Amino acid sequence: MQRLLSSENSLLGDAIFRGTFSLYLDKKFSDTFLKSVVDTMSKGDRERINCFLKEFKCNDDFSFENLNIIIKIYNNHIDGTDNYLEKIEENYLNKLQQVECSYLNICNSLKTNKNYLRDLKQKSEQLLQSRPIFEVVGNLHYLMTIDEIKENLASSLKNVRILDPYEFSNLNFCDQWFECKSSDISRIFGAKYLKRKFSENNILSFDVPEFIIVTENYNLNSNKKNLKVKIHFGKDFPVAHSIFNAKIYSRKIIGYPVANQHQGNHILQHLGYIDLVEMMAILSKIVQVRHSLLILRLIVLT
Amino acid sequence: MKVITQCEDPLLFTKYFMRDCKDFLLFAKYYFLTTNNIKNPNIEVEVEV
Repeated sequence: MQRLLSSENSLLGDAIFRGTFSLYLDKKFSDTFLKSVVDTMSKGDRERINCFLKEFKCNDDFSFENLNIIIKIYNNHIDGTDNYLEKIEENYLNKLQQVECSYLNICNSLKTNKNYLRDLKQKSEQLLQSRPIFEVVGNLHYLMTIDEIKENLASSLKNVRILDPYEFSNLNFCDQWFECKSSDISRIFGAKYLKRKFSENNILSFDVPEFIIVTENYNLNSNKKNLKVKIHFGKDFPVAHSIFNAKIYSRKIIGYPVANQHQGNHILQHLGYIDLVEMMAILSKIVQVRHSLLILRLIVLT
Repeated sequence: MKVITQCEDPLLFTKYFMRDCKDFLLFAKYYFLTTNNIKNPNIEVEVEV
């Protein structure tokens, strides 16, 4: 059987390829050998599978000679259960080898061909731009460097006023702003996205909230301010999450809520519009019902 | 899935691999985490604005 992740070949021994493909295998194995299934196996089989998974994580030169045996143990267990569970397919190992080949090719090309990274970046952006959420969480993708991520975030915040507490307190009509409950930065990018979409669709009757970021992290001698932004790397693209040491203020909207009247609007539906006021009302009802049930339960218990 | 060897045009190869967008995005994520040696799914970056 062909060894995967072998260090015999200098190309296969490349650290970037090995690290990248190891992360793939880690996820693949945890999706394949379901913990809920493994936990119901006999002690011997369970230990064998867990030992295999542990060894793979700890050993860089891990060989896959045991994989077929492990698959057989897993599939035999599924055959013996009444529950409907999917067996591991016969060509599982072949598919892993194909993915290994794919990862190896891309890693080698990225190392040797400078234009290749540029082409992949373009492809990555094209793929992600079809998803509105991509823009709302910062327009970031994984073929950027950390510096490019920072530049991109700075560029996305270009038109947002970023003030220090003193500047904010001296702002005219300071009482027209309210502090948002969280420092989730996606509310700012989301407003920017909606504004652009409304403008593209010539919708003039809808407006979006305006925001101010008030940061405590500033340098009196410089016009620049530093924002500490938390980035999450669990999704298909990096997600700009929240800002530390800063508060986000939103301009108060004067008037009556009319969002309910526009729920049938096809553009709002396409943009994934949710009426938060209505949602809060529904949540409030659920909380009230749960609260009533809790009181009822307490009465019964006492 | 057709496996294309590394001696072929890398862009042609990528075209095949990226037929499945999910596969490509997953590769990009793992490549990023490896090249930047990121173990924690959350990091903090300082952005100058």
